[in-house]
Amino acid sequence: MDKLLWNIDKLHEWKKNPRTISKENFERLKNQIKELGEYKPLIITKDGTVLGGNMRLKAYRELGYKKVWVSIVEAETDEEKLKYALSDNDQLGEYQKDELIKLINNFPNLDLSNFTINLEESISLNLLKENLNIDLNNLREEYSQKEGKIHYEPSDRRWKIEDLYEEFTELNEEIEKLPNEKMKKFLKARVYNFYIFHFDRIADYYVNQATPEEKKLFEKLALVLLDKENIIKNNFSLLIEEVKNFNE
Amino acid sequence: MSDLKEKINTIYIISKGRPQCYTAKILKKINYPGKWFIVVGNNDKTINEYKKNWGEDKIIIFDWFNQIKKTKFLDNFFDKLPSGASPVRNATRDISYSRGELRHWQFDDDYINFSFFSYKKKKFKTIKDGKILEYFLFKIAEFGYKTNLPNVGFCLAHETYPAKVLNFSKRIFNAHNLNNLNFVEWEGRLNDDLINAIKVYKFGQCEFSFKFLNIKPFETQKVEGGLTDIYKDYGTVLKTMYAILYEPKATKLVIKFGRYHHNTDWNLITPKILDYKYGL
Repeated sequence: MDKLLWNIDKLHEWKKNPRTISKENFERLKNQIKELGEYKPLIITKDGTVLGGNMRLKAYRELGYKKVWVSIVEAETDEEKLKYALSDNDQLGEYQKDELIKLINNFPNLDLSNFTINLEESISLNLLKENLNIDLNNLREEYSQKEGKIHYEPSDRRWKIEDLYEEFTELNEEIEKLPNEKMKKFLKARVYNFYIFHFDRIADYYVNQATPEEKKLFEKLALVLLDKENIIKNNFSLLIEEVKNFNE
Repeated sequence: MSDLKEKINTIYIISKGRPQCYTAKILKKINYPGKWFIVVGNNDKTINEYKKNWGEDKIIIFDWFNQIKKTKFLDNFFDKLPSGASPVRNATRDISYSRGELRHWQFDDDYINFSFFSYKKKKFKTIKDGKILEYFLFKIAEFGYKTNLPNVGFCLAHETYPAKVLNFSKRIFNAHNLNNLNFVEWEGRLNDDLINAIKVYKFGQCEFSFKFLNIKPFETQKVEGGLTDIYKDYGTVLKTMYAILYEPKATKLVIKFGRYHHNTDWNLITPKILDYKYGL
């Protein structure tokens, strides 16, 4: 493997890269690069396809980088490319929450606003720090970590319609063999129940690509939930403020 | 707040065969000032004990035999298995509606403690004054009223992830504040709360469970009465089966914490909530 600087214009994203990033996390990534600089190379193939660091490439471009540090790997097939992409993003180690908190406590002025850790989902380190006096071992169920913001933050990724859902096709062939058209229709109606919908992609599609007519139908069919007048978000904020200001 | 409080904040404790009713006990202990009742079926052999323990005016009896005819159990076990909570949940909505209420609370009967998160002290505090509980219940009910959501609530103590006490989850497991006019009918003999949540999202709505208020229940599966008998005889596998029946593509049977659980992939069920600015 060679390590060297490449002109950023010679690099391009791997079109099949399965990873995406929210606008909010992308801003955090840019802030990290501004603060810490370019401390590790992008993983690329000989033709300039970025296998590891597609988000960083985008951030470097927005920050005006002309040349970036790359590491070239031999990956001809998609299978090999995927392995490098997976390896580059594989966080094999785990944080020990208590040890991390002790360490953070040593630096009371440390600005943690641009960092998160993954304890099954990304958690703001600032939030973790704010709650140090709460028993962190008081965790039982995975779902207790699944809370999030009221509104989904759409990515600017564009999707083909066929990426929005997965058809259940295992029985199609058998159904098609049947002579009775009404029965076929009936059985297919049942098969639809097993379709999988990717609601994050659907929300991205709604925001970035859907026509006004499609948007109306997406809402009617509960493919997205539009927070009318942001009534849920605003009342949530109001409620939390009241809880914060509660005088015992 | 008083007019609205009358219409959205009444507590109905749903109970069966547990006249000692832990939830009623804790409400009395903290001198809860708001309205509360215990709802039991007319098939319950301990009705007189309920009345004796809590007073006749606190006990509301519903026609269990009529209610089970209307309930969708998602099976054909008829009377071979106990009926679960769906009949009493649907009946309680009708009771609350007939009393002119817009929303109502449904509590289980095994709560032994309520706590709230004190933001100033950055820790959970046990509620010893019923007025504090009433205030927080009203705030959650008011949120449900303003947003017209079918179901809002709060959680069990062990579900509260410490870093997110001022956040929410999109699934309610226990204490429900239900909308009488935008009511999603309860179904299933077991796992009715999961099935109801799935229905809510399928119909293009959502539910919120808050973390700043929580309850500690008596361990349900060790207490006599309620659903205990079903657990004892058939285990959690059966409970999971109802969720799989309702949403096979997103629910799996798994072993977790030494017992069977259902594992639901909510990403496959819950549409994303979007900021209004993205609409037309």
